[in-house]
Amino acid sequence: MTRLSVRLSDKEAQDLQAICDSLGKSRSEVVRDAMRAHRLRQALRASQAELPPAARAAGWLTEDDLLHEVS
Amino acid sequence: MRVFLDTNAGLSATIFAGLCEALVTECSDNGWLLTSPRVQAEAHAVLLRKFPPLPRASGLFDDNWREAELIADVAEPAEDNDARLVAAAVAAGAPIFVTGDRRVLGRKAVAAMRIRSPREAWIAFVRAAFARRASAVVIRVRKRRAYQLGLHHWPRNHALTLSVS
Repeated sequence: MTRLSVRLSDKEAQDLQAICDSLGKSRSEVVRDAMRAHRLRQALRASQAELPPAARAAGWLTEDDLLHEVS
Repeated sequence: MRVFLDTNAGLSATIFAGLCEALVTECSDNGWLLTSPRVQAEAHAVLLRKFPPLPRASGLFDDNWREAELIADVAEPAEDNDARLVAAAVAAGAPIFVTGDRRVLGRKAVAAMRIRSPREAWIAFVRAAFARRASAVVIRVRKRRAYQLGLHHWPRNHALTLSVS
């Protein structure tokens, strides 16, 4: 496991502590959760930026089109 | 609440912003997201067939499932892929199976697992989140009331009926 130091403003540090208190999690857990959430959203944005033109060409204009065609 | 998303729901989240995407992010953020090698193989086959000029599509799909828990496939019934996915989710103890496939949706439930459309699953999530928030409010009110009564330690199983607006 790698130990990482991060510089935060006082306000950001307070916000982080407030999140930890409300969730009952450590700062490390909150940062790991945030990183996973950020990575997933980035991956979704990347695939949703690249694939829709091909999907439209294949006749899938909306998610319902896909849901009804693919089992 | 662990949730298994069928191939069609996973593909939908990968391609379109919308309900299936919201389910994936909600489930992943809560550590509820399940998938299986068969879902990945089916998704790769669909993407290769539908998008032949985009060989990168399978990799983009896989990137969205890196945080999901991979459950084991099952071998039976050999002639029905959909039924094998449902059986794998049941074997993994998933309480919800999300699909857009009308034939699978028609089964409604298998053993203790409910089969839901993406919209039905989202409504269930919203209701569950509301219930969690409501019970948190009830607990806070009960603790405050106990303090007012001089009960500095809230006794377990102590029932106080309070209305919360």
